Amino acid sequence: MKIADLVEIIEGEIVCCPEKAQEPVRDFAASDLLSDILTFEKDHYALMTGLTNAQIIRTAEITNACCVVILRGKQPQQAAVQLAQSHQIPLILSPLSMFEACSRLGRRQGQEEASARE
Amino acid sequence: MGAFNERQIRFVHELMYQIKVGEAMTTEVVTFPPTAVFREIQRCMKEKRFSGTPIVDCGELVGIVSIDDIITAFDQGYIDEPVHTRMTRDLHTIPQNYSVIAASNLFAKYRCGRLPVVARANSRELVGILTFGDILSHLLLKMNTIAERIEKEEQSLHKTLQGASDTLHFELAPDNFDLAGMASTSTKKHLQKLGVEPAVIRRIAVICYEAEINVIIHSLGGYMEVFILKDQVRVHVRDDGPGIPDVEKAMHPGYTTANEKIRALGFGAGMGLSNIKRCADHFSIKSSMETGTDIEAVVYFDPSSAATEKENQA
Repeated sequence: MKIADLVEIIEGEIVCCPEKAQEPVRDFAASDLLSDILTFEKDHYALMTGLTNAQIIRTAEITNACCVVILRGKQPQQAAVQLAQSHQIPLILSPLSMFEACSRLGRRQGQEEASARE
Repeated sequence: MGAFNERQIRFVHELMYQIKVGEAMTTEVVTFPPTAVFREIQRCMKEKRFSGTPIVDCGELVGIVSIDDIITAFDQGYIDEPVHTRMTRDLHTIPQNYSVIAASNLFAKYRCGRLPVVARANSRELVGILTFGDILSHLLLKMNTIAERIEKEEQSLHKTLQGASDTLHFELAPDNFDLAGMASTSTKKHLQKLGVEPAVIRRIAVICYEAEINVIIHSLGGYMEVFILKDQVRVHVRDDGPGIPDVEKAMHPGYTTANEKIRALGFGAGMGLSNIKRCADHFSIKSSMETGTDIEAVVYFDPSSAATEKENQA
């Protein structure tokens, strides 16, 4: 799955670094606790959260996330947008709930894995 | 030397609580029986240069003769009489297991310069004598020992760090949540430039970030130093307090003292310290309510030396 696919699936809007939309998304981590995200061990993953502060971008940067998704129609804080720009991390806004976004992405991931096996 | 700061004074005070009368007292005490005459004691005082002596009868402390008593004896003309009729019998003593701070309070209260030390409370068994000078010299000795130990520790650390090709230093201001993570980002970028393996960089970056967040949300401020050596990276983080009351509890995943404001920002889940430990090949933490918290985390570039280190630690 590419970042552009993810944006489409969760009815999102990419507000920073649209030029990176063709990069791959290899995994997902969803939490409103950044400490939990910091224990996640995969690279190039989409960080899904309901938080809006600049530390979501810091956490993404420290743990090599490929993009950050803010859910539930929330708007990011100005500092978060600025930091995303300076670190070149795509920032995506989605009106969906965490559960809805995750189930849609999970379904798509399942389909992709099934077709890869065929 | 500048003026003492509050922490240094608290440190001396704490030491005075720790030092027991029994450690600081003089045990070789010249004593006299109640039948001794004042002149005999006066000669002994002059010869051995002391200014007060306990009077002991059958192993029991019964009085004390000070230089004041001798002067009075000269003045009143009873210098050649035995001491038992005129000595000070109203004695203030101190048990040997009391702290020297208690002794120093007694010196001030009774305006005396020495206290006979007894084996235990309500006992008359003399075990030594304590002067203000004894307290001072023991305190100095103890401080000197501590200073030497710290110097030794610093020297050995200095030796380890001499091989450091690079040292990064970051001041961490308390409550400045917007800037939290800057030090970790800089460290990460620096390691990337050096060509360190990405998996290693990530572990170091998470250690730095968790530690940085801890200092910013919990402490009065501090600093972080990152030493890049040939085979390892050492992260030292120190803060100015207030210290962690129970380190063992704080290491437990999920244990937190963070408030709602911090939790609303996505932190304070009680994972910080355990996450640092998980990412590090070697981790140590020291915290005291007096001096703050001090953590050290080491990450090796080579996984095999990391494995040896983990075995050693276990």
